[in-house]
Amino acid sequence: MKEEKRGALDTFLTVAIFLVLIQTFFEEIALIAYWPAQVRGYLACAGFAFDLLFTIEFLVRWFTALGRKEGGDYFFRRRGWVDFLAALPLLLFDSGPRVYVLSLGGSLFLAGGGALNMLKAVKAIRLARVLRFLRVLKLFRNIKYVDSSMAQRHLTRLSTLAVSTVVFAALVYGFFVSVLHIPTPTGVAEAEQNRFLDAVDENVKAERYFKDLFSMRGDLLLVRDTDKDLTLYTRFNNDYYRRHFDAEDYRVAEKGSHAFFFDLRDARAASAAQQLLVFSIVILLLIALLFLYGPHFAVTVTDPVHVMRRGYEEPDYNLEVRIPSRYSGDDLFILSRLYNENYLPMKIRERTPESREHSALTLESLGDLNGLK
Amino acid sequence: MDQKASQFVRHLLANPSLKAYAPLQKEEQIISFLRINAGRLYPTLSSPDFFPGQSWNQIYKLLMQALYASTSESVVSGLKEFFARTINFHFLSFFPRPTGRSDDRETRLFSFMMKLIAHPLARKALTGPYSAIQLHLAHRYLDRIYDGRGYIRFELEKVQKLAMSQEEVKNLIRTSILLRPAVFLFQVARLPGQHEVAGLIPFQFAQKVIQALEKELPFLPAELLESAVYSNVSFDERNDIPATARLSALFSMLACDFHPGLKIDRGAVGQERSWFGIARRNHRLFGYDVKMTDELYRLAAENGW
Repeated sequence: MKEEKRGALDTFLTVAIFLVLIQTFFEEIALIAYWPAQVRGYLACAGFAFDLLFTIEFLVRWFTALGRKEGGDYFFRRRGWVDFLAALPLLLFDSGPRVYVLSLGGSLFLAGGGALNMLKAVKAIRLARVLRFLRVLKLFRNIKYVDSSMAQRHLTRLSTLAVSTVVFAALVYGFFVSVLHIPTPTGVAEAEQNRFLDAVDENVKAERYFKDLFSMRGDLLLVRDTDKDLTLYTRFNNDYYRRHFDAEDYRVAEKGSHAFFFDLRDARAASAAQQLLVFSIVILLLIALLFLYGPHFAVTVTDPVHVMRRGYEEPDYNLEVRIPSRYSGDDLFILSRLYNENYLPMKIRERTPESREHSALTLESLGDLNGLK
Repeated sequence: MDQKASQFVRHLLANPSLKAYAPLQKEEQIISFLRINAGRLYPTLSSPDFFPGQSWNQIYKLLMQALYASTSESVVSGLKEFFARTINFHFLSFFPRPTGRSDDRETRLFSFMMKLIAHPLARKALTGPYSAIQLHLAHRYLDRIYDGRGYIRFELEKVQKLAMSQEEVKNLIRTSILLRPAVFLFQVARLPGQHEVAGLIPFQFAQKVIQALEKELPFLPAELLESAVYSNVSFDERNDIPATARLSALFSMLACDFHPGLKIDRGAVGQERSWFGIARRNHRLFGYDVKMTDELYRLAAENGW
């Protein structure tokens, strides 16, 4: 019963990991394709729910392991660190703040950037988002592609190493971009917007002047007079903003008594494309490992070892190892040839009528003999 | 008690792990099982529900009788089917010795097979030949042999001078395989220092067996009897034994070691290819014709057998 529950829970988590990968993919696609803010809001909420689920999963596993005094083993050997990194930092620094900002509702835009501090915090920890891609490793842990535990371990270790390297490389790159002020799509957009603002004459109030400004910069959305709390000019109506903009889709820059709202969606789409690239690399890397390297490892390492092990263990198992001609020079296949050409013939030669006496029937396979009474 | 023994044997025979085996192989497996597990089975089988008050030897004897009866029934039925549908004896007409009427000949040959089944040693030796027939080894390999012009075909056509069709050669080999255990009807002489598992007999003894069989089976040509009996002689001792005898030996021995239910792991080659691979390295010990074994190995490899 306990095993059944555990199996059902594992299946549920596997499905959740699949879904979270799809959610991650669509979150980026939503930015690139300029999906409505509401849809992106749903995706963000789904991301929050998944982060919460995986955080709970991590905590349960972690405390269970601690209870068994296997905390270190779980965290370092059984990849608890993946569970941790793919859950808690994301909940605290990515989906949590974003859902909080979303919860402030559509009035945010019109509030003149009242949640700016929160937005800045979200941007500062955006680096953490690449950690989401570590979740594919959680999925990989559940795939029993090859029978051999040795192959499982090798593939798992290799995939962990490869995916972690890509993710941490992206993380380190993001860190240096941030520290060294290397231009990012958002940074470039903001710099251009700042240069534009430098040229703006804040004393001019004529509508014609704003019209010219709006025709010069397609990403300028709205200008407000902050002293009078008055919208001086807007490109779209409020309903449009509510439907198409979320809190991260724009920035507010102030000059004098004017607040300038700029569209950041193009820059976000460019950033999302970069995220999608990392995601695609991670996924393709795993697919390649699973479907190209996995079978190769099985054919060239674990399969011949398995056949030889059975040949040594079982008196009746006398199958030769298949030796692919292009790998015949591998040490393992040289060993396999010796097994085929020396050991197996010797095994047959040493066979006596007594040693042949074994049976496919076992006492256990007889089942209950009470029915025969 | 006999009924109880039959019931227990039926239970063993119905075990899924024996499903793929031929009847005589099942019998071997069950005999081994009973011998290996005698100590653990006895407390249950000597209980009031089974065979109370009986010693293990008595129980074993009862079970053996039931097992032999059940296996014989299956083997006889299989042989009847084989004689009725699979084989025909037209190939006999290619040999000079005049033979009797075909129905009479088949009936007498079938009776001789019953004699083999009734004889403990011959019955045990029939396991391989019977399985070889069930596995259609002669049929499958002869088809491939006749696709090319290799050593075996040359030996059959040019050396043994079998001027008959491929189908008739198949039937000759099948009959030869079935008659191979006939040597066990006689007090079998062994080659000195000869490997027990190889089961080879000296050439002189084989000649005596042929003479005796000619009296017992006068309706069969000497060539067929030679093919069957010489299949027990080492090719190393006599390299002029007929090609059909050498093939009969190889097919019978292969079938003897064949495990129908064996899972072929990824990374392993097929059972038949493996067997020929080993056989060609042990050819001296088991008296196989190494060139023939090499060719059969190649055919098994090419066909994924």
